[in-house]
Amino acid sequence: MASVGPVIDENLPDTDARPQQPDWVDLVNRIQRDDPQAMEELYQVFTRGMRYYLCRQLGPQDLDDRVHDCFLIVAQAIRRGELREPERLMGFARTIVRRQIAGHIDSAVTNRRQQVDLDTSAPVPDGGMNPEAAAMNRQQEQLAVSVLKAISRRDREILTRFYLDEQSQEQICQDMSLTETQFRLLKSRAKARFGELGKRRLSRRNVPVY
Amino acid sequence: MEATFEDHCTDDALELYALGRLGGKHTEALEEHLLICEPCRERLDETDIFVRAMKGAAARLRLEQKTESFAARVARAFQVPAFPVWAASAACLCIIAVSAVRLQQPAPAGASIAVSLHAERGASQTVAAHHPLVLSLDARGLSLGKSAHIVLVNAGGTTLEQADVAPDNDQVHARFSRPLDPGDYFVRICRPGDADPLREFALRAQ
Repeated sequence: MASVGPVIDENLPDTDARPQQPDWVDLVNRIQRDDPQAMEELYQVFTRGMRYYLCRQLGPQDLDDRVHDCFLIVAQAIRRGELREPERLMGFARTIVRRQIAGHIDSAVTNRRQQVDLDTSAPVPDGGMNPEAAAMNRQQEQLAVSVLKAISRRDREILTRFYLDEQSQEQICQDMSLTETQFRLLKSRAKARFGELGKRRLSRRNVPVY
Repeated sequence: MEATFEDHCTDDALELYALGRLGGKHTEALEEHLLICEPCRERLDETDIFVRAMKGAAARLRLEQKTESFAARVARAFQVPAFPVWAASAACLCIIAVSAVRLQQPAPAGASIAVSLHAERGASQTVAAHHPLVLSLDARGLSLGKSAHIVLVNAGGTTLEQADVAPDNDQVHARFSRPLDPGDYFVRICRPGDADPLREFALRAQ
């Protein structure tokens, strides 16, 4: 696995966007006292994140049911006093969501084994990409091609090693005689250029905003 | 560093997470934070788009580079110094043109390939191009009745082939005789007479 610096950084911009921190211990206590407002607060805090994570891992099918199941498990565990460390409520919620995902994958694998496949058949799962999404993917890829073609061969080699060949930053810096700063600068410039080209394309098409 | 509610995910961590290369301990902290932070979820979506685009672009450019190198090597191998420069140049151009045409010609269609499509989320799977397909489509939960309409479309949404078939328990089987060129395709299950798909599967031929 690649080594990485801090995962969470208090110095990142958009401080105005930082949410208020709930008092987890207080929230858990209030839920255990059957406070309906506390339950509503729990719902507001977690369900959007649960939905995002479940959709990302399992797709949009049956998403509402899965989110509902995860939320119920968390809420019921709190009510029954099964949460030993209320301050670790986030970690507990994450564990529940991951178990839900693992359970779904296990049952999908079991179902697949029990099906009769044709000889020489290769299972092809539903990738969930409709024609519009595929077209958008291609456009974004074309933007990235433009970004890569506009930089030197060496810089292109560096980015290809990182994004396609899955080499680590450390390995690339060592092989290509780069400092960490130079590597990060190259990546951030490529990302900025990608964003610029994307915005330029959107403005040319006069995409309406609703 | 332990995740706290006030702080946000770093760009590096989001990128490694999008690439599937973030370590276990860091993944835990990041995922906990993503559960409760909308701005970081939005940043992860943007990172996903960028990472996916860069991967695809890098792969495409690498393939183009290999193709050019082969043509250039062929041209060099057939160069004859005693000829006049204009003749040698013309010969090289002809060789490159022939090589490029041959590289772009599709291979002749091969034997049919049987493919089973399941209604599960996952990375887009690939099949070999230039082969007709015999498809088994997962129709669980669709309540099709006696007949289903199967449509094969290309990435632009143009219908390439279609067929009416009888469901076989929770599957429908369809044979498409048209060999697929490399690219992205979609197979749709519809009710007869209804253009709206009930289910859609993605295929990549390469």
